[in-house]
Amino acid sequence: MEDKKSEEEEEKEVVEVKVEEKEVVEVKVEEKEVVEVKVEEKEVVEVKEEEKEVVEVRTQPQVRCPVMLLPLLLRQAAACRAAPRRLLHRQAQRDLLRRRLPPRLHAQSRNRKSKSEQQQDEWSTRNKTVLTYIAAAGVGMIGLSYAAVPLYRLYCQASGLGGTAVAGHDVDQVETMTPVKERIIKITFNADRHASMQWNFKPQQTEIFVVPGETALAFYRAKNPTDKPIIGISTYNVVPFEAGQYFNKIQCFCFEEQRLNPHEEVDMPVFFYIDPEFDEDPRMARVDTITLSYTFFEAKEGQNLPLPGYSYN
Amino acid sequence: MSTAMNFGSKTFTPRPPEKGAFPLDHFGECKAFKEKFMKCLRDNSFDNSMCRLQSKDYLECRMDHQLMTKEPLAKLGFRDLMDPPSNQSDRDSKP
Repeated sequence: MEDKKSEEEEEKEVVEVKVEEKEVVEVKVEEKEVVEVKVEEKEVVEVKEEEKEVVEVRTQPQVRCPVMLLPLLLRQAAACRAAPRRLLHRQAQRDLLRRRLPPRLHAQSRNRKSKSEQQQDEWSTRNKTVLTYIAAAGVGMIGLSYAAVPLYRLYCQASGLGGTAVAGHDVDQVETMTPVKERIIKITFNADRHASMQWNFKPQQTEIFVVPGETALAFYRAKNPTDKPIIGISTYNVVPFEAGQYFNKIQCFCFEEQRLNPHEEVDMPVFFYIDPEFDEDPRMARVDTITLSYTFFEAKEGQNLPLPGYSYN
Repeated sequence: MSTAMNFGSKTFTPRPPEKGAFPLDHFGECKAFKEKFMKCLRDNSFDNSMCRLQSKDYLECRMDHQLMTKEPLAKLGFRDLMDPPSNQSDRDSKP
């Protein structure tokens, strides 16, 4: 009897042990499942971090870095790592020791975490798109500024402006224009030379009274006091600037090399007229004096100075 | 004038003369005509309208001495100084 009892007890013990073993096995199985679930969850969380627009939770462990869904591929490729799994394993073990049932709690915390993460992710996407747009605009502006040079040249050729704002500087105008006798303008003359230029250069009249539409003649005198020939080249200036567009020179001595032999003195004429439209321009209503100023520079041999208004392209 | 820093405002762009540059009168061939012109100016208090005849003479001298390309004077704005009446001046203005 006692033997039987002890046998029964032994059996019970064995059964208990077996039951315990089973529990252990079950626990181990659960552990594995938990680990798997955790791995899946982490993948899902990663996926969620990466897929900012996907709402459903995937449980398939085949989800790697989903390439097709996202605008920011480069960042994902960098972020796709397998490192967190080891941490998950340890975490799962710790949870098991405390006999906590992982999935539900983790489901809850997952949602909480993902909401703020989601918001952050949204913001960072928005920031990135804005930055991309701004960068594209900047690059576009730089490209436009480079393209503007030939475009402007084309525009000038097409519209014929090429630097002059007033149209109608043709020669026929000289023939057909009629002088506006009521408007008398005083033209004053100024002569300048560069500091290293040794000519004596001065106007032969300080002022002259003209009317628009009438051709006028004026003289400058230049003298070379040195013992060697000097080649000079001159440019001119008209003040006020706005009146300069109405000041048309038919012929003068500027922009071409003029050679003076030693001790030579010449008269240099300027043949010009004021455009009759000068009288009709409201901006010129109070302009009574126009100053014509010539400046002489010394020209070195072999130097080619560009003529204004012409492009040598 | 040159110290005024006007950015973007209208700046002066020199234009080349319509008929180019005068060749220099190295030998003073037309100096007499120039002197007549200057005297006329001084007498008339530098009024150009009164001295247009003298300027026309000066330019004609230049053209005669190869110092200026020959052109009908009407093209130089001297249409009103052509002595014959309107029909002849029409003939003159024709190229």
